[in-house]
Amino acid sequence: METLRIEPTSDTPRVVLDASGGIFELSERCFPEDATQFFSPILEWVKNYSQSPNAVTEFNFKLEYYNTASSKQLFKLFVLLHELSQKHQVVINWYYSASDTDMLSSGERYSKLLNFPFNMKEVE
Amino acid sequence: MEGQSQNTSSFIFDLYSQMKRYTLSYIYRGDLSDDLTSKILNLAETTMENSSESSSMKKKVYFIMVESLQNLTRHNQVPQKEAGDNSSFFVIQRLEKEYYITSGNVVENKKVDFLKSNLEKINSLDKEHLKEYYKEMLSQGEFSSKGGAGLGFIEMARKSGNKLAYDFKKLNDDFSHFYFQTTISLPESEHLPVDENIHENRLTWLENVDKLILEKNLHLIYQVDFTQESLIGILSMAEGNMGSTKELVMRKKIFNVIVELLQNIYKHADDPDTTKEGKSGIFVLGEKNGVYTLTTGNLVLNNRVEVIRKTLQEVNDASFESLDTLYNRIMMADEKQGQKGAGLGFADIKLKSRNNILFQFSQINAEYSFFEIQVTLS
Repeated sequence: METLRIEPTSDTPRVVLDASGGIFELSERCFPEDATQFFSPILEWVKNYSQSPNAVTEFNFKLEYYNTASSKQLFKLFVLLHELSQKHQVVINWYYSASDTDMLSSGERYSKLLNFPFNMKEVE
Repeated sequence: MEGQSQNTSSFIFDLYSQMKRYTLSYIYRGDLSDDLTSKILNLAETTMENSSESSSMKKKVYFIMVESLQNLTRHNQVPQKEAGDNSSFFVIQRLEKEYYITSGNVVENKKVDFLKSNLEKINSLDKEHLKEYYKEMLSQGEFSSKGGAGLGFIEMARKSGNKLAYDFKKLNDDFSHFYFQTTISLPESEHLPVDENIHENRLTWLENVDKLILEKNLHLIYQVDFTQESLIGILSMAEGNMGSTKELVMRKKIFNVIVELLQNIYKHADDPDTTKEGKSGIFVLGEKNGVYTLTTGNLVLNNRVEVIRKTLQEVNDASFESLDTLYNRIMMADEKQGQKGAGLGFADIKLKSRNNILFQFSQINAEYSFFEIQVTLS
C-alpha cells in the first residue's frame, strides 16, 4: 500500500502512514482552514488499509495542539481504528506534555467515548 | 456583556465603529524585543502580501515600518524601570488615500526640544534640501548619539514624500511620550471614496486610543479582514508577546482560544462585502498581572442573533461536567445533517478557560448586529 506522507506547515500536522514500515503517526499542530478537507485523504487511507492491515497497528498521536474542527475529524479516525481493533491488534499511543492536562483529557475523552483503551504517554 | 458588566465591551464596539473606515488597523503596545519585532514585521508583511497594493507601494510601506521599529528599539534609551515593560507603541493603518505608520516611545523631557527642532527642520525642507541635509548628517556621523534621533527621520521623510507628524505628551517631570507618524500616499488609482464628514486629526485620535490602551492594559488591537493567514500571524505574534509567560499551559490555552475565536470570525461572520477574501472583524488582546483577556468583534445578520445567543447561553449554563457531554454530542454529530459543529468552539473555549464566555450583541442597522465575545484566562 502506498505511503501517505504529509509535511507539516504552521497550521497542519506531519502525517506518516506507512504500512510496510509499520509507522502510523500524526504530530505537531493541527488547525487547518478546512479540517474536513485536510483529513479526507487520511480517513480514506485508513479505510483502505483496514481492508488488509498489518497484524499489529501501532498508531502514535503526538499532537501538540488541535482545534475543535479537527477534533470532529479525529473522532472519525478513532471510529475507524476502533473498528479495525475488533479483528486486529491496534495500539493507540497518545502523547501529551507533562504539564498539558488539556491534551491528556482530550485523549481520555476519545478513549472513554469509544471504550477503546489508549496508552497515555507523558513526555517532558 | 451578558451575565456580567464589562467596561471593555463598549470600548471595543466604539473602536470598531471608529475604525470601520480603515481597511487595516494594527495597533500594538508592549515590549519590543528583537524577536517580537521580526514577528510584527512578518504579520505586517503577510497582511501586505495579501493586499492588492503594487509592489513599489509594498516596499515603501515595509521600508518605513522597519525604520520606525528600528527607531523604537535602537533609540529607546530610557531605562526599562522608568519606561515600563510596555514602553513601545507601534501602529499601521490604511485609510482611503494613505497608509499611516505610527510609533511611540518614552523620551527624556530634556531631549524634547532637540527632537522638536530636528523634526521641524526636516519638515521645513523640500526634496532637494532633504537630500543635502541627509548627506550632511551622514558625514557628521555623531548625530545619532547626540539626540537619540537619527538619519531614520530624514529617510522616512524622503521615502514617504510627506511631512512628518509628531507630538509629545508629558508623563511626569522627567519623561514624555513621543508619538511619531509617517504618511504614505497611495497612488490615485488605489483611492477609495472618502467620507468627507470625518476630518479628525489622525495622530490625536491614536493618542486617545493609546490612552485607553494604557488604562485597560491592552497589547494588541487588530482590525482586518480575517483569514487563516492573519490568524497564523497573530498566533506567532501573541507567542512572542507572551515570551515571559513561563507557563506552557497558559500559552497553549491562549493559543487555543485565539484559534477558536478567529476561525469563528472567518468561518461564520457575516460581512456586507461578499466579494473580498476574509471577514471584517476586530481582535483585542489584553493582559494584567497574568490575567489575559481576549476579545473579538464581528458582524452577524440580525436573523442569526437568537440562534447564536441560545448556543452561547447553553454553553454558559452548563456545568463543567455536562459541558463535556455537550462537547461529545456536538463532536459526534453528523455534519451532513446540517449540524456543522455549532457551539463546539464555544464549549471548548469554556472548557479550556474554565470561565463563562461574555458576549454581547449591538444592533447597528436593519440587517446587522455587532457581536462581541470576551474570554478571560488566568
